[in-house]
Amino acid sequence: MPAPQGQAGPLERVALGLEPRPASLERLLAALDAIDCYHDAPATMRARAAAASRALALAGGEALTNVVRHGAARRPVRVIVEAFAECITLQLRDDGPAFDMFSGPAELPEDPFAEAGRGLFLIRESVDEREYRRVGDENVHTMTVRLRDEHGAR
Amino acid sequence: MTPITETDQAGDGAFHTLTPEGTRLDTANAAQFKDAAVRRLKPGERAIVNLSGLRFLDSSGIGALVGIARHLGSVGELRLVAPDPEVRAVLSITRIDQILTVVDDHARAAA
Repeated sequence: MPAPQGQAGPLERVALGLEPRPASLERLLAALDAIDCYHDAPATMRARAAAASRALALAGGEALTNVVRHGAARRPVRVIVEAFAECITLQLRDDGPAFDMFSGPAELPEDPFAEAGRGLFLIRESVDEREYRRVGDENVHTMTVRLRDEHGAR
Repeated sequence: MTPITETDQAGDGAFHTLTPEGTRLDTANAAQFKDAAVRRLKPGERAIVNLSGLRFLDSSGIGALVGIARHLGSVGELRLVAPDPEVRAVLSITRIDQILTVVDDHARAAA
């Protein structure tokens, strides 16, 4: 995927194909855990990268769950993680019918005891940028977390 | 893999303590965890879920916890104990900590 505006290419890139099923979440989390390009960076940068990786694990996992629940992907879901000096991005590409999961409401359920309906809210709260594009026969959902001191509720 | 272990049997009015297996409660295992908990618990009972071993909780895991609380009903109670900072942040962002009691240690949870 192209580098975010004004940035050089990624320091590290990981691409994998995941079967659209819940058990695939483990591989997505492992890919984020394996980011190693900040290893020699100062401690503050390593902490920022670790926080960004955790935020993307949550958001990416929720997005993958959404793709799986939609249930229309025929090919494996392509996951691309790119680590930059300023941010980390996670992209999911699936070949299901056009579907922008970021376009709808992303609020908590009205019933606080509802057993579902928090995934899109967690994505919104976890990442700095969400982008959807339809490219060829693929839905391309990209989530970006900038590297800074604090991540979490915004 | 058994999705749950039960470390205490509740006496009259006491708490069952349930501990999820593994370090994640997410879309891959949340339904199993909830089903196992509901099989062990009766409506009106009180239970603690020990979250100390968890490093990852997603919306499916939250759904499982809320589902157990719903099963116990308004007479029963579900408390969550010892979440690590990441798990606690998810509980806070989703405001689950406003509807379920979250405490840092087991002794306080069962008090």
